[in-house]
Amino acid sequence: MSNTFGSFQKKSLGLGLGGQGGSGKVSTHASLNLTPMIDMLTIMLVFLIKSYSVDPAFLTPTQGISLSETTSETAAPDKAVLIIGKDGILIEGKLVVPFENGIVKKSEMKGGELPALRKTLEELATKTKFIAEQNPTVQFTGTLILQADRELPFESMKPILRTAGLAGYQDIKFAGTFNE
Amino acid sequence: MRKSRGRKLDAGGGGHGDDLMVTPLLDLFVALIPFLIISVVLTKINVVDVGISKPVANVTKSPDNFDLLVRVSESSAEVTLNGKILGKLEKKSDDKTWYSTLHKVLVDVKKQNPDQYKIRFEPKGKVTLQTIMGMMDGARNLLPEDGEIIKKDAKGEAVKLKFLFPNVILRGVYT
Repeated sequence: MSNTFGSFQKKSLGLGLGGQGGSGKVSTHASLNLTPMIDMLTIMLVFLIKSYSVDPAFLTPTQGISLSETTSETAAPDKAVLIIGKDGILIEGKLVVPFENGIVKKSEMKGGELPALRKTLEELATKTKFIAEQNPTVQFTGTLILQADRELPFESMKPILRTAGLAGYQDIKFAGTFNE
Repeated sequence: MRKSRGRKLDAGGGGHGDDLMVTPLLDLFVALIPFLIISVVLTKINVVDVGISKPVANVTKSPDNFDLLVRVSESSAEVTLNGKILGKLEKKSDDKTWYSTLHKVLVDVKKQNPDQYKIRFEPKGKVTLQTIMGMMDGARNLLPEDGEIIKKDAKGEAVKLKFLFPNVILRGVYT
């Protein structure tokens, strides 16, 4: 009886039907072959644990932006992030300057700079300086991380960099994906 | 039927051995894998430091009389040192070859000026961010194939340099 059950359980497709007992009754027992699934899960688990980093990641890729490649090994610090997306310029995830057809609207520009962006950056600088007065571990360094598409031309970057510089952010860091 | 912790006997028993109780293992996998997929960062984002040149009114002349400038256009890069053209590097094939040609020119400049770390880039309007970052990467670090560049520190001891021109300044932002 037991041998009959065992041989039926090893049927193909990983699904074994319970065997017929000596009494002629059809067993309703069915078992899934879990070995391939456990193999796959083990491989995935090992890969994910290997890729898991305990370092805090302050920057995450933004949808719709293909970042430049860089060989720089400097990790992104925990500083203000300016994203030049397809819909506009975002600071700390908030849309500050909307774009029209992928470029800055002329109405948003004044004297080669972006007043709305300058106001937001100055407010951010004031806020950081205030926090720095209360908390000695925080410092205003004038650092701004720029996350932009790799195909962004310098002429589009210029008014943004100029505005950032005038608002007190002279230390610019270009974000890019690490490529050895 | 014999029962033991975490193990159960095959319903049929017999010569087919014991089956391991895999349910707790699967429970663990099902909990761990979604957590790791959500939290793991597969793309590592790093940053390239770049300073912005000051507005013209605030510019003071460098006291050490060293002005290394790279004018970048879409198809060429012109390297000048104190106004003298050191080379015009045309983009002939792929970008990487172009960046590596610039790197070689800058290594020669570094050998002559081991105490200098500053370089200025002046990109023209259509130059993309990728080109600027590629050039900056080429200007920043010394590679093993560049050979050793030695300089003497304040105590007079020989120091092997690791960097080429890491102090990168972007020119033309205010003009």
